[in-house]
Amino acid sequence: MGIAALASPVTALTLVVRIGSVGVAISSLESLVRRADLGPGGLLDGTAQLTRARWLLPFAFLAPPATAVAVTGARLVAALAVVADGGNLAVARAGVIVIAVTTLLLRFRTVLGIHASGTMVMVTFTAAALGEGAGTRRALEYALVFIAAQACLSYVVAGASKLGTRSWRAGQAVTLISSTLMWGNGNRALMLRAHPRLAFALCWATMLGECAVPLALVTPLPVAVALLACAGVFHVVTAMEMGLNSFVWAFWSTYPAIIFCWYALHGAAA
Amino acid sequence: MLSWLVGALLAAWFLLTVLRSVPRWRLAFLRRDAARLIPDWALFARPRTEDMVLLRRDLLRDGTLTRWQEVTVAGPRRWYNFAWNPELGPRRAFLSLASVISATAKRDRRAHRQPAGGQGTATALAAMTSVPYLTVLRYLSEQSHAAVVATQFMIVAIGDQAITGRYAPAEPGAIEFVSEMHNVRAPGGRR
Repeated sequence: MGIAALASPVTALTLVVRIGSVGVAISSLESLVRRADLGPGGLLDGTAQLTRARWLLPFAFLAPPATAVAVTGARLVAALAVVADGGNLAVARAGVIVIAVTTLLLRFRTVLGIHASGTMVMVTFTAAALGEGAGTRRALEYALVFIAAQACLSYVVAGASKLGTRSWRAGQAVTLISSTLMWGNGNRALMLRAHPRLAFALCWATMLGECAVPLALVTPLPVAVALLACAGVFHVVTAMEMGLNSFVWAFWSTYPAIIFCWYALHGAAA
Repeated sequence: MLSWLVGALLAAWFLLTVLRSVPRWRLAFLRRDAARLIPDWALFARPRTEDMVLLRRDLLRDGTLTRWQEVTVAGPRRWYNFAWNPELGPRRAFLSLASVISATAKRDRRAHRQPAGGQGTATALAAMTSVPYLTVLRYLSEQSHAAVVATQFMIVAIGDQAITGRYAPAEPGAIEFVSEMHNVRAPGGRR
């Protein structure tokens, strides 16, 4: 399949949900191997969390750990089905709707432990479910435009908000983050302290690189692909350095939607 | 018609996300959006540069008050975490809980102009009745062994832990919050 195939909304959305489903399968499995966290002895227990807003009270049925395990299990099965047979439109539609609904239910139960990658999964699969549920070409196109717009917005807001923070502008943020057990690595932190110019360059490369991703929509296709490749490598690096494994699949999954929008803006014959 | 409905719904969602990204409206969205349905894309904009550590001490049936001990929320980072990281969820959950409890307590201390700690005072009340406080308390209560009658927890911020190693009582870090002493649920639900 050449990149030009992504000019078709069906092909592009199929690729979006198949890449995204790999991440959904991994995160669902991660939850299931640590299912004690979902119960009263875990931090992801739903009992207190479901009282955080009045409108969530009807979802109290999600509190028991067995329910959370069942919902997560259904999410895993749906993700595996989409990865294995996402080219089959009936499988993709059913799988995507199940993933979207279970993702929202788990989010209602608790938002603890859910990072921005989980938010991107919610955005991607809810849009895909609405598009595939409606079943028209136009609805698929709206879903893809929405996913691409959210992805571009996410990079710009992430980059611009860092530009507004002194520790990022001064080139200290990466070193400070590396010094924490949560996100960092002792050897890397010491290395960055010894090479402050490198730390400064990494901070600015992160900020400017994030702000540059939406340019993929307006630059020539090879430049757009190179920009997305750089963004993709950035997520691999943060997975290796910070353990943010789920970001890789969640954000990679949006790239076919961005390429689809590129073709929509420039014409499929470009 | 259905297509236009999908388009309108997604356009509204995107518009709300743009509004959510304006710093002055951030708190307003945070208060109203309990399920975080409107994305916050300001990732690591103001990164926490210290680790939050959970400590507990227990009152035992024989009257002994134990020393403060670290509660290990999840195991250490592993080389394969770039692909498989099941412990990130609980680690991140505790970071969120600790940040909210600490921020609530700080806000209250500022409002009441009282020193850190604030046990048994009005300053601790807002934090104690919050969902994050109750979530941590329930977590510790359920993890208590049979000899524990009551427990108290403390949240400590420690910098440079990746370099200096895990929490050590000799270098306790900065106290962010200290809870009240609470009775815990006995095994089988008895108190």
